[in-house]
Amino acid sequence: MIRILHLFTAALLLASLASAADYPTVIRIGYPGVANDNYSPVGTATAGTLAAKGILEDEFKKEGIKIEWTFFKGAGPALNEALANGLLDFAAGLGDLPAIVHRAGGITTEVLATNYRGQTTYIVVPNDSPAKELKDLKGKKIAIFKGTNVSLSWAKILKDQGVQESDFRTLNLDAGTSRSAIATRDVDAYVGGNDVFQLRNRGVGKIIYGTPGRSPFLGRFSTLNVVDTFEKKYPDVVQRFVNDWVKEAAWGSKEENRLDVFRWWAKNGQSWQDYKEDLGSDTLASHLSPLLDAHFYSHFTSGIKVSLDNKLIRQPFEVKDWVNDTYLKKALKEQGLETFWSTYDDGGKLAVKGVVQ
Amino acid sequence: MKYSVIALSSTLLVIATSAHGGDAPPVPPNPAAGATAHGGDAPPVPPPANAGPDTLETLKKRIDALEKEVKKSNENAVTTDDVNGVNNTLQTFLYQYQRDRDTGQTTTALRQLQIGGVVYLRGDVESKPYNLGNGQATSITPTPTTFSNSSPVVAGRRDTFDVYQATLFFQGNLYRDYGEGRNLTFRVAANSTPGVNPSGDNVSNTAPLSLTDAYLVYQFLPTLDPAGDTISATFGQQLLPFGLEAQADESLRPVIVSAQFAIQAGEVGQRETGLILRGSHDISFDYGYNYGSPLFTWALGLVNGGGINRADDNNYKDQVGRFEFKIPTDYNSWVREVRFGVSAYHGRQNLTGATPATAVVDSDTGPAPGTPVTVSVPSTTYYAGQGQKNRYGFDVYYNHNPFGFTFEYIVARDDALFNNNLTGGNPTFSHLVAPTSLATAQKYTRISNDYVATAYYQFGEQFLNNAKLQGRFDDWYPKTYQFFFRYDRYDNDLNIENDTTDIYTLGFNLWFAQTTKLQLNLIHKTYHDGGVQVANKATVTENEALLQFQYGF
Repeated sequence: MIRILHLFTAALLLASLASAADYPTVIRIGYPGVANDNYSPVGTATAGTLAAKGILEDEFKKEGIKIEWTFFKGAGPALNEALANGLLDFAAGLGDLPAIVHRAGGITTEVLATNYRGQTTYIVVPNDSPAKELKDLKGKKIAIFKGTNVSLSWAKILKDQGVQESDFRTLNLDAGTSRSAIATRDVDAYVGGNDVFQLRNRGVGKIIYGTPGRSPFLGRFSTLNVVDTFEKKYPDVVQRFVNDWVKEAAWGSKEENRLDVFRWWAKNGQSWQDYKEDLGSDTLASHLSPLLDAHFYSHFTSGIKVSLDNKLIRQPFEVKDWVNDTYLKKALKEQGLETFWSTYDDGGKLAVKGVVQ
Repeated sequence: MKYSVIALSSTLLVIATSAHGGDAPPVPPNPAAGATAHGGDAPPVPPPANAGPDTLETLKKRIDALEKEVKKSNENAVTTDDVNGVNNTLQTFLYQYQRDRDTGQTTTALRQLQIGGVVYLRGDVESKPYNLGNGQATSITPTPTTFSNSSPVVAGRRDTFDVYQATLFFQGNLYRDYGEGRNLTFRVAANSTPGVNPSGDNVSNTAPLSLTDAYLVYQFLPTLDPAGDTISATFGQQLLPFGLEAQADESLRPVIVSAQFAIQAGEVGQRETGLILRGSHDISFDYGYNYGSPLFTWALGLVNGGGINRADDNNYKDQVGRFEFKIPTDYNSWVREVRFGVSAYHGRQNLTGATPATAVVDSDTGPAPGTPVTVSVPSTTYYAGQGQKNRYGFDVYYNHNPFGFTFEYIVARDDALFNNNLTGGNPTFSHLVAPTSLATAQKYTRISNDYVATAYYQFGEQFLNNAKLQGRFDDWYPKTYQFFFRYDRYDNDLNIENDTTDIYTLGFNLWFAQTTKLQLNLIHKTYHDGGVQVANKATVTENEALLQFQYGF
């Protein structure tokens, strides 16, 4: 009887050990940003609503897995630092340039899905500035948060406008400091995202350039990445994570949820109206599609080249070696969403029309 | 048909009026009322339908005009969504404002003034008892041969609790250059050290705060771009740019007790008053990690050499300099944070001695005239010129999270006076005897050195520059664990053999809040021949366990 009891106990122990091996005790997710107050943990796009709604917390509650979101004030570079020091398992919403940089630098993550595509970039100048276009700013001080995906977009804008970075005096300032510097006229321009609207709305700045309506080449991408060791150790966890990601992206892509989506995003202090204006007549699906299509590949391939040309990285790499789309494909199939989103060609133009517009 | 048109016309009029605000009065169907409701920019409204049978065409035109106006009005009309958006923004602002109020984030001070401090609370257990005063043997000695008759009494103490030190600082911008970052900043700091009472460990130490830092820093070059070269000047009382440990603020040192050279050799381990220039050049900046790495940094300065909170005691300005080379790398490189540094301090110190007190017979003084009495002539201090006070150092630094290693070598040359009239005995120790007069004083150069090597292993976010800046609703507690081992060998005088002091420290630091850490140091000391503590004594050992809470605010 005692022997049976011992065997039973040993079996229980082995079972619990096996169970512990299948699941991590904590899933550590990094997000490259905080709210406009430079403090509150709030984000946008699929990563933002996934975090705000506590979807992953619910998903892994049964196994007792703790979900640990970290919102980095220092954006992509700070998230990269945490990745390099083994403090994260996932990077959710990491911009294209920081992602390229960490991969080129030898940090082995895998791209699982897209978070946001076609993110806009604007150039704002003080309200009384005589500048009407980028060329008018030659020799002037331009603030930009280098190392974020804005700086990759900036490099492409320079090429698109036929100018070079050496034509300007670029200063590496974070977004909050840049906005202050525009208000105090200590810089002549600031290159940022839709946060520039608040400068215009306050009457201290005017926008002289924006990527909306221009080449898709100029848009910014952000992705969901997983650390490869975590992916290899916990493939089931990764699959469930991606399942939730796809489900949330599908919710966010439906136009009937447009106002709800903006409501979640606006928790970061950015005006609701700013999101409406920034997206304009674009459909949410065109920005929130998680697909890793030809446009994704061409964007990152050109991004690697631009990064190399601008000495932001030292070593190139192949995008196809970086992408692991098996989880995404499985999630799309299981949820019947294989034709839900449109796909875009390598020029960013519509290739195959999806169910959701 | 006519009635339908009339009804539509009226409806459109009402809609158009409503679109311009609910406060507008109802619009009567006449031209004057229409003009009033729509303001001066509104098109003239034709007469109403019942004005005559020839107005069908006019009514159509009027309907078209009204339709256009309604459409135009709706384009700029505030919708429920917009109101929701404003409400959302307002709620966000209210939340942020309240949170800032609750957490004290609202800055009301001028010039970004920061006020803070660090307090050190200690518990100490030693293997040998500590005694002081009234015939008690002093510590360290293997046999109680040195006695003190001073009071008060400390007898047999092996353990104690201390408030070792409490510091308070103010720092901020005096002038902030928003355009270029050529800022003028300041720092003033003071501390109270009840745990380091020179007049006796159990004397009530009510000494007021003592000034530690008091300096201005001006940046000569723009600092807004972190990839740019920097040159700055620091004027005032400050830490010296010498080696690694000497220029690290107390709150940043991993080991509770400083390395011996910083304590024993003096000068490089304490603050000085003067002007020091610092620069960093050829910075390779890895924007992907916001990590800058200057190829070389330097520091060059003139200081009094008199020590902390003391005026200069001679007219010679001591010189201090440091040059550091750093391997230029990207952040994610194994040779990140490899640095080699050399430091030098060249100074002079006054050579002084004292004649002993003597007794003489003075017949001119006394209780009655002519009665000889013996009076005492106090000792007098004499000045015998200046001697050197030079220190040279070499250091290596490697810190690639989670591993770290530092090594420092310091050699110091100090001139002192000794008695050249001594005969017999061990000549090696003759220079330890003080001269009794200027005539017997002779200059002796004491050379001391120190090797300090420290190895670390740590995990946590405390040592990351960017990642620890996170968005949190309230406070954030970056738990970090650090284990280290340090070997510190100090030779007080190279001319005396086997007089080194070796200190082995095994330590653990736990940061359980952003500015608070718990430190545990297990220390094993070996005093060869008594080392710097007592000469001519046999080798003794001592063990000590030191626990310290260091909290910042």
